[in-house]
Amino acid sequence: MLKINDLVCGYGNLNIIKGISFELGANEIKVLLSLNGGGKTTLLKCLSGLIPTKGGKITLEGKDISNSSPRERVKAGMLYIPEWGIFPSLTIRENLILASSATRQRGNSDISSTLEYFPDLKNRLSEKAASLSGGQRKILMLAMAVASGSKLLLLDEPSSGLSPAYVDRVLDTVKMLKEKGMTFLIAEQNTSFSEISDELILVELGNIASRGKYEELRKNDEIKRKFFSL
Amino acid sequence: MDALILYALFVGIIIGLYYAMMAVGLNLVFGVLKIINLAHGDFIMLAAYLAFWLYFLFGISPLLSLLVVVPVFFLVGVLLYYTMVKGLLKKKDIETTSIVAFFGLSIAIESAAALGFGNSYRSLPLNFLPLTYVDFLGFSLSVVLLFVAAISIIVLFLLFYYLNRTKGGLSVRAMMSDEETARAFGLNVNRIYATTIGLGIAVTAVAGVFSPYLLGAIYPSEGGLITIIAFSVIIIGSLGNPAATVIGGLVYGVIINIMDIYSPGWGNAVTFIILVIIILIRPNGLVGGRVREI
Repeated sequence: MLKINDLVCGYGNLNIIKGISFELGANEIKVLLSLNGGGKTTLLKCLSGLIPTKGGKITLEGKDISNSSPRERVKAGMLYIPEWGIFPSLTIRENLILASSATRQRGNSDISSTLEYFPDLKNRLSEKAASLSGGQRKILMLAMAVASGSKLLLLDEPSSGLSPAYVDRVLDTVKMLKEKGMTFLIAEQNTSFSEISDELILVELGNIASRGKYEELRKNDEIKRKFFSL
Repeated sequence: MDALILYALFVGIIIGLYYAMMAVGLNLVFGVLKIINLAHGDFIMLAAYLAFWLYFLFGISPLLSLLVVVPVFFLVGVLLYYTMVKGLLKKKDIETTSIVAFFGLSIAIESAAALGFGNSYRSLPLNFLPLTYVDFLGFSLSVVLLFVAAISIIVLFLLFYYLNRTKGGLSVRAMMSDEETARAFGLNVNRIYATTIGLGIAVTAVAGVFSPYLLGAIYPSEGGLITIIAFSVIIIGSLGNPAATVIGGLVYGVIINIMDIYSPGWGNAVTFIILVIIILIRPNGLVGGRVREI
């Protein structure tokens, strides 16, 4: 579904991602894990088009999107959701309408179908998103992703700042959406996400340090010390 | 409460509505793009001149001139975005850079206006409305003043209707709420920015057309003082929150009108002292901190 070849990106003259290559198949979950400053957020932003590609190639379903705008990538079905990717001063209904209409020309019907997956939000549609707790905001982010109709989600730290109970809820929601056919590339430190991933990609100083199944990688003492003791 | 203070309050509210219309475009542009338009008052001056020349050359009344002024200044705003602001947004420190750039633009507009129109004071006729006064608590109240207040209410209503009840307005508020998320969701950033500046300057231009009735004569260098008044209004309300501009306008209008009635000459001084006190007590404005959205 998504193919990344020798990708280079960064800010100004500084290259943060220094030639990364991997593929993401349809309906897969791949997790990016790195030390702080390792470049996983930069990688997601680069894939979304928020940061320009300096080198290499990004292909989405066979189409070269390396130089496409963020809007074109969203329309192509790939959506990046920042760490706190909601609109706090808008109502929950407005957040969902915006997510739906920004990617396709749809109306309220999408919201009602989205709310079937997120019943907690049904009675709070008129509230400002700023009134939601951290965990509820993450759930709203995922609801917005569903409303957008995107096939591939690039999630940045979906569990950051959450209590264990809410991490489980976010995790369950991701698993549920995978069952519905969604594909995920997730930048995440929490090992719960590594456990459900089809492949774990360890990023260090803008390069892939190692990759594989979580169960296999954690058997390596050096990797365990460096990446799993965070 | 005696009749004079009630009269002062009422007229202050009427004037305040005009100030709100005069400043709301500046706050909208700042809220969405985070740029500081120091040429704001110059667009009011230019719109006033356009209305003046439309009347002087073709006999078009100020009210009818809106049919020309509003679309012209909307396009001016859109052009301003694509020729100048879009480049500014690529700079690291947008606020500082925009201050310098718009200061330069302000001087350029003022100089061009002085060369093109001369430095004579101009004004618009009062006879586009019946030259009547109505009695209010024993004092005479100009119908033109009430008319401008009505225009201000209509313009503010239309602007907030657009922002709060339309898909385009929702996109504008989304940009104001979180720009990165808006970009990530594929919003058409250039179109939203251009529309916002166009709208902001078009609304400002309406205030410009009626400025001779509230602010006095039209002359090339009037923009600087108008910009200061507009900034005062939006700081009193809440910087970056267009809806709060209405509160800022009303507060500013009431204070300056009461001072003008009870202690003429101290109006600006007391108003700006109150502005400093508000900044010290509530740095985010009277509305800021409690309601940080439209």
